Amino acid sequence: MPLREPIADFGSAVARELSFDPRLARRLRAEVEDHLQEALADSADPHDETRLAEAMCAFGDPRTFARQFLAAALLSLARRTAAVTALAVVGMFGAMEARAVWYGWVNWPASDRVLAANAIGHPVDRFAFALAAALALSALAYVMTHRVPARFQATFGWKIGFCIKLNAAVALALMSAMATELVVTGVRLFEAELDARALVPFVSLTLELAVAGGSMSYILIMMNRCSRALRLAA
Amino acid sequence: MEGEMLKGHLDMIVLAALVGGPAHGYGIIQEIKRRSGGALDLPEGTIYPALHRLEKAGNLASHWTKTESGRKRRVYKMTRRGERALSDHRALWQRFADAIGGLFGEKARAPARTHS
Repeated sequence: MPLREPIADFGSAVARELSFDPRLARRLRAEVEDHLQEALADSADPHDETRLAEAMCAFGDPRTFARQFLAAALLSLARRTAAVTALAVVGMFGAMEARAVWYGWVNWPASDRVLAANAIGHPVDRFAFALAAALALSALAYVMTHRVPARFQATFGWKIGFCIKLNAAVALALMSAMATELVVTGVRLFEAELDARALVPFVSLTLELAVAGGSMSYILIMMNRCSRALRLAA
Repeated sequence: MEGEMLKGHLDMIVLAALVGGPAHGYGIIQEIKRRSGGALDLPEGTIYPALHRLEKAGNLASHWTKTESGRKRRVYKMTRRGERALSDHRALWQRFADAIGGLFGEKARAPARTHS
């Protein structure tokens, strides 16, 4: 294939600038490379370096070209983060409720120690969870009501950054609720005989742990991507 | 053609280029150039962001295909929503063109009336 190297270099440069969104980076790299190959194939001489240089020039500097996708990519990133966080809240709520329903269903006895742990743990747990749900809803409403601006502006970047931080606050609140649940359920399981009945609290707690940890990891990745994206705007 | 004159019409131009059927980015640029008689030679740096924007808005859909040489190629096609958007824009453009045409016609006649 003629002039494959400069085309690949240009595609890599575009992909590098968009590394905060790997899917978009892969897609644009393939599109740009196909475009340049096609431009060359369309010219009389497939080794025409001038034609290739002209085609590259029409794309502009890779950084400037990539910057035109920044606003849409950032909003998409914030929307995905808010959606994942909202799902995490729903998942944790489901696991918590399943456990509560199960205790009633099997008439799980509550000792004085369990009742004492509940008396302290439940208000903390409920508050942390309610806070997480309220923040997650706010973050979701915030990103769903925002549109992609025609041109990227610093204020838009700041708003997206704020939204991602809001999701991080949700994850922290979920982790707090999770930690409280771990203690309260731990006391209950410690005092009970470990039979088949313990499976539901154990599985639901594991599920909560996975959801809280997973959402926190996801948000940290998104925070990192967001800061990389904002560097492109600078 | 002046770049300023194209502002606000780029999306319509891209949609109009896809009336004939699905095409990839390079093909769309060539189609715009061909159908405008070479007057609209849009740079790649503006077409691809427009394609992505139109797709996000639901006016275009795209999918990967393979070229004969095995290269990956993204092909765009207009959606029903895109057809409606183009139709609306075309009607708007026609009204605008008629209004400007009328205005220019009046201007052309005005000096003649002044001197007569």
